[in-house]
Amino acid sequence: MMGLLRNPVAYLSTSFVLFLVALPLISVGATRGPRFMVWAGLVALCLAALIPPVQRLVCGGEETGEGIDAAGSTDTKEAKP
Amino acid sequence: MPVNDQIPVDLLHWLLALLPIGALGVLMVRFRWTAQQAGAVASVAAAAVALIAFRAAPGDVAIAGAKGVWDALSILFVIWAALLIHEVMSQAGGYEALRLALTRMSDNEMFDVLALGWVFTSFLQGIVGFGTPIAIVAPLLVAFGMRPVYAVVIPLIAHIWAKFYGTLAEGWLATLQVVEIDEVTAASAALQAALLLMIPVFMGGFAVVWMYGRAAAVRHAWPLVLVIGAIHGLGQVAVTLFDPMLAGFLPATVAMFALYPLSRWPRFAKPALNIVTRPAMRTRAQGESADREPPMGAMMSLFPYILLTVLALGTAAIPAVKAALERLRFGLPFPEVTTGYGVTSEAAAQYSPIAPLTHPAAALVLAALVTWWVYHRRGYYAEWARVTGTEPKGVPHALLAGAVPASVPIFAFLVMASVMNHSGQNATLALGVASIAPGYVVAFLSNGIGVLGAFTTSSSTSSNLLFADLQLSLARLKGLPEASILAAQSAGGAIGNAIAPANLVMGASTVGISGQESAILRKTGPWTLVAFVLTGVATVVLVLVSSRE
Repeated sequence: MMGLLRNPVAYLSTSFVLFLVALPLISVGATRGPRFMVWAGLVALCLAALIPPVQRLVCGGEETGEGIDAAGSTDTKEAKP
Repeated sequence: MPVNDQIPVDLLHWLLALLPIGALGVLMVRFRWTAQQAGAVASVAAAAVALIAFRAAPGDVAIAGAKGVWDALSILFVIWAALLIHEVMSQAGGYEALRLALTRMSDNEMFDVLALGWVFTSFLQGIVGFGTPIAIVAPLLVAFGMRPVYAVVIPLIAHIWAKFYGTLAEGWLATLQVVEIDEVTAASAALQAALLLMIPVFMGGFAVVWMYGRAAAVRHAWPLVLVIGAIHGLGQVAVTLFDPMLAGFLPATVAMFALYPLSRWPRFAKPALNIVTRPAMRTRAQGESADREPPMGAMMSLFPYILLTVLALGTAAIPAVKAALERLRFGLPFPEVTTGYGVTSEAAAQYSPIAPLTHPAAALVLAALVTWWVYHRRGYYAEWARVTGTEPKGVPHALLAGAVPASVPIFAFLVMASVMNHSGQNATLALGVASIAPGYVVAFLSNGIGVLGAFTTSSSTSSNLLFADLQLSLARLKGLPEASILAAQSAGGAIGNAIAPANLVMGASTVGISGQESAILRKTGPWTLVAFVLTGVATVVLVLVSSRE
């Protein structure tokens, strides 16, 4: 679990997929049923939304905007291109 | 959003409705949380407030959240397509070639920054929306030698004036869809909106110049800003009088053509040596030659942008082509939901259907794929890898690495916006202000409601869809001229895009600074505040003038 939260691509991909999964679950569940699909979709939405702040609380202030100087340059990541 | 007398309008509910937006702003600006983290907290807060204080059932929140995810997909298509074109260009050395081409257009670096950051961005906004101009221009400015944060801030601010009438007047058409007004009021609202948008025209131009070189740059560039500003601003007002559909596109195109004669103006043909401080630029001195020879010339580096313009114009301006392509549409079904306070969202067999072939992303993807094929056939990728001595990452891999971090916050923001809208939190915020403020204060604040709508939904069109009818109701309740209040809503909906989280994320992701959206917000925030105040004052003036007629 900690390994997942320390890997930005992994935890953001998980959040991304959960958001996408929630969409058809809720749409189909709410219009055609069964009703538990709506609940499953809601759980997926909640998990997707909670992953980024939980990652912050568990792993500290990684990937913040800190490191940007007053002129707006950045020393935390290489800018493209 | 019509006025519903069951919606709670008291201090407690108003403060609770403000909580998600407040949390988002504080976490991003004060605590420098990333957009993913702050957006996620704000969406959870919106859901909690909806459940606890706005009598929304869990099923209602789930449906609102799913609609938010669907709304986000429209924006994400543009981001993914823009990232694709970015990687196609970047890995072939296209940006280096483009940078060289731009520096040869004029020896005056400030002129080039204005041309690219203000005029070209506005031109793109005239034909394609959804934040595409930011996603396209920000990497070009970085290639030109600009610091990444400024490279996002400049197009973000500079294209605001064209948000309402840009994309062939999408914002104006959306407003007309949701309000019932007579032709005279509509014509008056259109004209007054164009007048109010003169403020972001000149504020945009001068902000670009100020960011580039502070007071020295303003002293040097003010004639240029006034000329281009007049073309943009007065042009928009003039075209509104006979065809609002073209009010953004025509002046933006005229300004593009005006660049050539303006570049011959002796004042702007030579380097501005009196501009010593250039905070927006990296250390590269003017006229410095490139270290690495790109594998392509200027025309090939411009190829995707020329192709994009042709494709976007072809699909948008030829009705037969547009109608044929729009036949393919799809959306998901959702049932009607009503909260305990009587806020109803109607059932939809196809909610907000997407027409993928006329979506701005379609032109971007096609331009990117054709360019990728052409560059590959000409061997640019192998040649640029050899020149730079790097192993090519591959376009798909780099696209995935950029797209996922940019997508999560967009989902979170749009879920928040949808939950707030479905539960009546947006209406409580707007009605709360109107219930205690006298008429002229409501007039002053009316563009702020538009800003709020654009901030929460990251879309000026959505802001108008959400709030135009509500603003009309407020104007009638307060005895204010309807046209002026609708115009203020339209201007505010445009201005709010400068702080719209999705735009920040989109820009940051295309210049490789995902997670640093708060640095961008700290620069666009003050600009938005000043634009809001000036537009509020101008709205009061319009109300006074309209009342005397």
